[in-house]
Amino acid sequence: MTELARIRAVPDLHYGLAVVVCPSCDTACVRTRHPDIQFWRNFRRLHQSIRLVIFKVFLSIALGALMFGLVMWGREFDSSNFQSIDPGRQFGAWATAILIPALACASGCVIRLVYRHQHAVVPLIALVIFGVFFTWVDYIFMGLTLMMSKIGGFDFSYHTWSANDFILRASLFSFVIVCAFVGFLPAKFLSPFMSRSPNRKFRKLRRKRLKSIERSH
Amino acid sequence: MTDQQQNQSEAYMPDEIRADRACIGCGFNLYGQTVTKEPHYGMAITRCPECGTVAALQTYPSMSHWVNRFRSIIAAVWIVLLLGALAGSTVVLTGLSLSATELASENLAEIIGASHEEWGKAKEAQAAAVNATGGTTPTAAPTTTTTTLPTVFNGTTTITTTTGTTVVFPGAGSRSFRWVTISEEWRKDHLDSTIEQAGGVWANVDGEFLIMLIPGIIVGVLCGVFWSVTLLGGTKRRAILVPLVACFVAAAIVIGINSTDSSFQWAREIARGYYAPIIVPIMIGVQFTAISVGVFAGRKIARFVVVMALPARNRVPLSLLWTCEGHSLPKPK
Repeated sequence: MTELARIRAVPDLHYGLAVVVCPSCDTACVRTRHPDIQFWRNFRRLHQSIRLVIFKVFLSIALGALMFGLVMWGREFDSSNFQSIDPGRQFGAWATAILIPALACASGCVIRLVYRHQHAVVPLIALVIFGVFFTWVDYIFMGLTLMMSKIGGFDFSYHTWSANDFILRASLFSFVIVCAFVGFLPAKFLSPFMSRSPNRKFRKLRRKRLKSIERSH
Repeated sequence: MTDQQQNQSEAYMPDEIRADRACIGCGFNLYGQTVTKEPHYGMAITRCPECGTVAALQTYPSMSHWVNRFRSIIAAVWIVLLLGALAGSTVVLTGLSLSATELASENLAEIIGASHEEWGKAKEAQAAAVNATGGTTPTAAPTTTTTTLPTVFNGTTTITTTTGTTVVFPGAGSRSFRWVTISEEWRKDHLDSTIEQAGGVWANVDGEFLIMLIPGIIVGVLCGVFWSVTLLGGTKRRAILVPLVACFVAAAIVIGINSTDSSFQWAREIARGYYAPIIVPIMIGVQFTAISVGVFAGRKIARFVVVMALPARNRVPLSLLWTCEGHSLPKPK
């Protein structure tokens, strides 16, 4: 009785089976992965895929919300604050002027890295769709406010959008999207670093396995 | 392999598999499959008739019973989760329909409450008058007259009694009468006439309930997508039956809640009782339509999301989304 557990299974050329040949009696048998382990591995793969889908969808929604938030922040921007004597206001103006494009760029970079397997248009469209969705929610918020005030029994002041509001939001949204698109450039340089680490691990393992097979042959 | 061993294995080799044995490729039971001798290694093998995978008879390790046990446990947990999701869907549908009914019945609730309030004041004044005359003067029961102007005149309702006049403004201006407790006596004698004088149930529908259609449609589509993807084992037509059950249960709950009759009810409860049979079918109908759209488009939406979000390597574990409808997994470009 020879222990076959530590003997390497050589992939069979004819059937692709992992064949282990007993060194004592030359009896050939096939090593199969234990069904429990196989089941658990499949489950983990499925779990990982579902987790990735959920993460990416929620990240897209969050970045779309950030685009909308940046537009709302941009509405408050007052260029006259640059000349203000109040240092707090001056700082606020500079912070707004720098942070809005910077955050938009960072969002663009992140979403491009997350969707690096797709064409560059796809993450951009995702940002536009979710940004427009949140703007639409803001637009219908008037109706929702009215409803909540009726249900909750309180009066809530609200105002409708003027034509200037529409133009301001549209131009700010375009600016933010262009900034996000600029963020795609650093993502292009960062992308190989993101995909290198898992690939390197697989390459190492594959090389090691092939070497050992060559040795056994 | 020595000649002696070869002769022995040939002598004891069975013609076919006589026990349950799952194919490692597709799980097909290989019971009854013919065993052949493979020429290269001389191993006893059989081929799966479903997927063609070669299964060697001498393998290590053998199949474990724990696989089937795990499968049973996971199936049981999955069914419990699905039942929980069904209950959750029912609760969401119920909540949206109940909110819509509440919104639709606000105007009538204000009218009923205000009318009852005025009637109560008139009754008190009458009792005071009886007390002042020593209880000898016979008095007529207090009456209320309700007049509702059309929407072009702001849709106000004027309630006139022996003690005075109350004007009820629909919308945000007046909401104090909704919480008035209505006595059984008034309900029996004056409720129907008050509603009739106010223009009837249809004339007093508060159109703001329509705003509940927006969350209703969004939630309905999401619910449909969820059930379409969760019930991959069945066809779309079968998958639609589960949310249909949730819709029926939700409708029954909302109508049931609003048809309970007690001695003392708030004006809003009475008004809701009138509107529930009208608004609930509308809301449930719209939500069921949204759910149907979600069920029929759900698998396509899920496939689109998976293709967009995942690289080709990670899509393989979710290949059931394609194979359940006979499609093949999209190849990487």
